[in-house]
Amino acid sequence: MMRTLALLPLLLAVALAGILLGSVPLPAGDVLPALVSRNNVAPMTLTIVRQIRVPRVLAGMGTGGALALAGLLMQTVFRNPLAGPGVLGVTAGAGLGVAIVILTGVGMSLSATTGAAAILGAGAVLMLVVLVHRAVEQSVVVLVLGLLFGYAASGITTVLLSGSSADGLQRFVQWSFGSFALPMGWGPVALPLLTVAIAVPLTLIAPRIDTLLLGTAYAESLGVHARRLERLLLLTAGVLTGVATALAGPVSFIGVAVPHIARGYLRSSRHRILIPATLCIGAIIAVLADIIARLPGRDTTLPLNAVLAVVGVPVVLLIVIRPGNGGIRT
Amino acid sequence: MVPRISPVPTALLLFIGLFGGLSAAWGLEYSRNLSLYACEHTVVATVHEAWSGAEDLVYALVPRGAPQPAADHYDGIISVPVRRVVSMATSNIPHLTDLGGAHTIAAVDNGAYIFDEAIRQRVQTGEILQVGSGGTTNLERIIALDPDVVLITLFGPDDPLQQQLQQAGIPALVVADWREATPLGRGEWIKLFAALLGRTSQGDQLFQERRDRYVELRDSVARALHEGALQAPRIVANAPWQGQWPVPGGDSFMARLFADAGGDYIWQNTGGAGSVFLDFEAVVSRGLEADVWLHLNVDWFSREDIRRADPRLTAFAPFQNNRIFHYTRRIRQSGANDFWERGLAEPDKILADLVWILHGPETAGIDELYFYNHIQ
Repeated sequence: MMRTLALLPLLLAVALAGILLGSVPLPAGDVLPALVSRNNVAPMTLTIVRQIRVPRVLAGMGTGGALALAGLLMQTVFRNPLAGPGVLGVTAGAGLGVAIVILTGVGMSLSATTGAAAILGAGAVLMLVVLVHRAVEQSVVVLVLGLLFGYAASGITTVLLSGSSADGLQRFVQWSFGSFALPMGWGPVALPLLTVAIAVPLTLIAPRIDTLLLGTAYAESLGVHARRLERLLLLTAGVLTGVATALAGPVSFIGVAVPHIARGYLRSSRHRILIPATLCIGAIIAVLADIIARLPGRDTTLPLNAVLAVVGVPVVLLIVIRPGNGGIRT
Repeated sequence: MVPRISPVPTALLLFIGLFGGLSAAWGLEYSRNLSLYACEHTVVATVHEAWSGAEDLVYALVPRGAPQPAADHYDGIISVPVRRVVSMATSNIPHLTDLGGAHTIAAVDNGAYIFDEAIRQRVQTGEILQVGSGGTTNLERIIALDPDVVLITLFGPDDPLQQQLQQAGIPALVVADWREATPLGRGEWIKLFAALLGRTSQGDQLFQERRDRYVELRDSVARALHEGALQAPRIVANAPWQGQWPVPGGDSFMARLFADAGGDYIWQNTGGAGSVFLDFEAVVSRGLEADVWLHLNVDWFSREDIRRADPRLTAFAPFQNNRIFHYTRRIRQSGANDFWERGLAEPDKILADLVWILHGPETAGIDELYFYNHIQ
């Protein structure tokens, strides 16, 4: 537990760095007062700090934590180290919703937002997955069907893309880059709160979740209603993924990689410590990647997903392949 | 600008010499990606740098019935005047229609993105076919049409369409007007279409009229700015999407229009002919106090749309001063926008709109905007 608590100061430090660093160089002596007071702070500094950097850091923490937690739950349910938020097809469903809004002109006529469309798309696929889970016994079948739903959603998205205008294509491609640059509003504030609100009860039932790692039969023998618990975890992971994707686009890497980093850091698969650690590490990595993507001091930015993959993959390799670490496990 | 003598491969010049006729370079003043040579009745069209690093593409436009030159000298031999054309870009449409060649259009890539009403109706009735684009191009349908030329746009050497059409014996002419850095350079491509339709003098005349209107307005604004009669308003362009704010690079077609209209474009010194993707706060730091905001996201039609999409944008001075303009006056529900169709052929109309926005209707010499809407 001490190792998990040790992540909190690191998370705070990274969040502070996220507020101090950006395209426009602002002295720390101006930024910190802007967080607590409007007096004696230049209006532009106030705008940049409060309306751009703070929501960005909050969105990064929320999205990183949510996707990492979703990935952990998926790997536990499917007892598969490659499982992640994307395998249920929820991300592809969100992408299809956004594609319909951007590429067909529906957005213009209904004033629909990409966020709402992503939630609808993700929700539709998630409902299918939950229904399938009720109908079939084996989790691996759910995994395969989830992947197939994802392929189908991606296929329809590709059809829409093939007939799209240049504007539509550019907007969809930009959406697929992922971004935490949200305006201040309910999204950046609500997502971290939602993630924590979900993580707390999950931590309380962590011993029961641990039993799933040994298989549903073993869990049932210990008195755990394994099928119901699996369904609850799938639904939770789907909701976290859907909301995070709706806000930030299809952010890759975090969901699959962070649970492995957390296990490597804690050298444990016990969910009571793994859930809070995964949450913190997901948030830390997301904010760090966003700081790099912002290219502090420069006007231009890099796509978030590119930074996560290029910088993140070597880090994960170092952690999970480290001698004595036991390699990848669920 | 001094007319440029086009670079032509030595072998080609030898060939022209063997032809025994007179050869003359067309007076292309502004285009840097197109050269035209006339040799007796044949026109030799050379497309330079159709994509970055591309070698010259040389086409012979040969009158019907005239002897055909040796095919290995050319990337395509096209019999003119063309009777059946497949157009793979909407920007070709105004050139063809203005020159009286609308009847030659046999197929287009996608009718949904064409603004021209007459062409749209012919697409809807099936008189003009839709053959798709990119990976979904219906090659069989193009071959079945047996067109005189397919006007294609390539973005690199890997696109198989040109080779596939060549193998099918169908001339494919690469239109690289999008590579032009100046509005007049792009508009001057009408001369190529005029050569295809056998209406060269009409093409020259149309371009000259448009050029004269453009140059006259540009120079009058420049004079007024120089004399202090006008001030150059600061322009912030485009809108954020997913955390990035794409703005036209300082060497772009759009930046040239802003400058010619007498605007002080904030990212004029940012290099590049394409879009530059900026961080939101970088735009805030330089654009918050701009005078005019031009061009929004495609689905923003009102100040309320802007506010709903991102409340931070209401802090921009043009929002507060109600000086936001977007090229949405001539659009279709399907997504077609005449700005990217007729506007490219008639840049003088875009320039007049921009001068209207930046300096008022009197300076622009027009009563109302043609492509732009005042976003209320």
